Amino acid sequence: MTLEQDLIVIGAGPAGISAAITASQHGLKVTLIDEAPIAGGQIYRATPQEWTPNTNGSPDQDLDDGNSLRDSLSKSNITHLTNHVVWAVAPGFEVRAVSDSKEIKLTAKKLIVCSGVTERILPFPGWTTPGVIGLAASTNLLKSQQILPSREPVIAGSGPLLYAVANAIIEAGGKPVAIADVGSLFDWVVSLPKLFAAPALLIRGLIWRARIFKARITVLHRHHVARVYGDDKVESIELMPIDANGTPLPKKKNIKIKSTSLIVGHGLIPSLEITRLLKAKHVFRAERGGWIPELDAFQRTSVSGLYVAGDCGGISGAKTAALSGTIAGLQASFDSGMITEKIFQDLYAPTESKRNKAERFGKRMGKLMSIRSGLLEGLTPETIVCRCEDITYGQIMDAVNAGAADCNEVKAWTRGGMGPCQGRTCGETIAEIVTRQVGDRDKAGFFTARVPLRPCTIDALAPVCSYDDIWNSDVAKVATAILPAENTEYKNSKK
Amino acid sequence: MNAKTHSLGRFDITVVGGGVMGCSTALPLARAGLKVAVFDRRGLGLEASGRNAGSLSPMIKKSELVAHAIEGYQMWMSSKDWLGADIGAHTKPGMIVAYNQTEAEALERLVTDRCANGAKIELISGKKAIEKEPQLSSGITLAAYSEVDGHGESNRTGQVFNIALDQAGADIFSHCDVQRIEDKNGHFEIHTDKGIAYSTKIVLAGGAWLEGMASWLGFSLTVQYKVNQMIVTERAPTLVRTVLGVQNGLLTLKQATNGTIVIGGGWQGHGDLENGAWHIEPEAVVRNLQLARYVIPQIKDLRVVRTWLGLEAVLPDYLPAVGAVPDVEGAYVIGCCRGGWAIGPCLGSLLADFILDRELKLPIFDPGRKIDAKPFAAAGSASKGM
Repeated sequence: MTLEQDLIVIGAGPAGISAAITASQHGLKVTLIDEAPIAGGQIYRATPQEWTPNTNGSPDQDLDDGNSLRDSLSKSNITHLTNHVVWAVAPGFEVRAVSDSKEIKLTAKKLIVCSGVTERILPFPGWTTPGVIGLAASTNLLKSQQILPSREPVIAGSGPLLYAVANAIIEAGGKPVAIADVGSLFDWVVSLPKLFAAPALLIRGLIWRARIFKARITVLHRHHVARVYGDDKVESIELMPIDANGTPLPKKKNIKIKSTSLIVGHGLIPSLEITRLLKAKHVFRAERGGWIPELDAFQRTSVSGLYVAGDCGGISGAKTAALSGTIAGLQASFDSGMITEKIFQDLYAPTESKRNKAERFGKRMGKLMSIRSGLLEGLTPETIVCRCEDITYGQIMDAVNAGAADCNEVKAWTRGGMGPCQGRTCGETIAEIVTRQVGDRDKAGFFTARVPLRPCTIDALAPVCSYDDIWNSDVAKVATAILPAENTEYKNSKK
Repeated sequence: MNAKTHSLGRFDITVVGGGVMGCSTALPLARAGLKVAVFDRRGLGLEASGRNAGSLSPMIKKSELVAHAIEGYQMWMSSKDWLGADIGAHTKPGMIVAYNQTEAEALERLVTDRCANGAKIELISGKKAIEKEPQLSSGITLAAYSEVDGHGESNRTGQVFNIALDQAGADIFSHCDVQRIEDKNGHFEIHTDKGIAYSTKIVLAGGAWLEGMASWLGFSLTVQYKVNQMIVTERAPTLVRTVLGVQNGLLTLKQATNGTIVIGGGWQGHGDLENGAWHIEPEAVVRNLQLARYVIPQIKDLRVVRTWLGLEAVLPDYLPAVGAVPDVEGAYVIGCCRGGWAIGPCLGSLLADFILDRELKLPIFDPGRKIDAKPFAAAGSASKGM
């Protein structure tokens, strides 16, 4: 099945929904595709439709914002494909996706990528012990299933999610044992002026901090996990003091805390599999989450017809995401000849100024989550770095010491990053390790993106067909045309 | 530091291209006491040498290369002895299956020809094939079976040669882009983005990029390349015991030591040497997988975790170039071999013997030979209509 569209939008979070709605309003034939069953992305992740969400009586701004976006989406002419996993994207553009074991092909001249972010978890001894869970993963559990990841966890890492998760656990009746923040109180205080750009969000953050204080939860600033103890489940967690770069301070005392659960995350990184696959230009901006696609003020990438909106273009939060989505949708409509330059300018100018204001807050939040290279100083040679392939820090260091000088070289030599997650988890760590040797992230590079973007069964990708049907395809003709004569009797016999 | 004048050193011999061909040539030369440099635009073994599927199948090589393929197979199996590292090579039987009469006849001709050239292959019935490989689908007309087959972890090629060359005293210039070579009648100047190297002799080992390299020395070589796609699944319990193929060559399938199943067969992706822009053709992934599940139905429930591309460079007669560049004293070329990873160590050591004026155990392949065969349309242009 092939669906021809004017525009394909990948990712139904605030950026993708806004982009699709804007383009659709200007007459483009749009398909919005997402792997989740309900639109909203991670930030507006919804509970299953048959549930009545329990908000404990208090208003839930995210839920309201999400519902309002979902409402506009349902009133539009957009083809919204839910439960569709995009497994390949090819130039031109071709998007291939699977759902319920059916494989589909979409084509369009324009593509807007709103693939959001991936959680960054830097390894430490014991991080693969059952009972260690991601910080962003915990928010998904809380939001979509209203499940507490743990009643009495230690929460560690960086960025505002630390306090959001702690607060949600307190609200639901749990009590975190301790919070270990990589950042200092000072990091938060200097952020305040920029945070005033979004007073509502700032107030929400302050309420979280107040509630955590009132619950008498220990908050340790400038602390990182030294080690998790326990074999098949978490038994205790050792926290260590660190400096501003994340480097351990061995002269200061570590703290060991008993808990069966550790919730940990070191910020968010843009999900760039698709823009990397399409060979768009990327630049490294630590304060925006790391590698980001090079974008102009109209959300255009270096590849003609390819746009990026939302956090995958640089961490900036939900409000910026929605506005950047609107701009991408507007630009795609203009580039498709659906609106005049006058209309484009009239609509673009006010959106741009709103986006720029929202970005000031979002960028500051991004900065609080940016990577601190010293956090890897606590690794031992036995610490697993790539958990899909069981590759240790020692093995990565052996490769680097033997001359591997960029991420893809380390990947080829060690298999680190070759497993089912395709380096989504270990990519940042391996890049930082290589960077220590070669000087900067530009030289270290990043893993080449590979298809499938998510693991898919052979059954879903390749439905059963007859032996002859395999050869009755254009791609088979291309492959046979360049075989040596001795191999091609089968083809010749068909003539 | 000015790349236009900075000297990278003086060498007896310089190898341009750090794949299996270049490294296998450089290693014996360095061990013979020559001052050797190896240049690569990226790291060693990162292009075709590290991206191929690691098959060591002598039976699917051209007749002129069967002896070389058997030698290459033995070299990889004993890599610990001569290379100082185990490349994870394992012996496994090889099997090629035919599903109809036309394919069966072609398979018979192939087996007769390869056996005449020293391979040990037997023809077996479909029933016998399923006894050897219980997961095979029914409907096999005829199969070829050989005990001499296997595979290795080609992705580690760069790593093992990096260490071996370093220990042999060769200078490795990785991430150093050679931009041109000047013949100064008696020595060569190798101009790179990092400086100039001076060398008495030169070996061009640039794989798909050989045509451009040869032109630096005024030598015209017609290099064709295919943009081969490969697919790998997640790890699975033992499912496939042989290195499997179908007669026309469009399926190769084997289970690696770690349990993943590697599927290939020369289905084409896109891109070209001038503009890069390499990318997978999703439809070719689908068709390659349909063929794979036709042959081994049980793999249907496995998840595909990764696909990738590698360039297979060939000359129009599908035989490699290994030997002296005609009319350029001290210049040699090696490459463009189908199944080049498997045969590479053999061809490299032969070229090193040739350069060192030692006796040759097997014939080499004159790069200056007259090639009558017509080049195929480049994969990139052949597939533009898709």
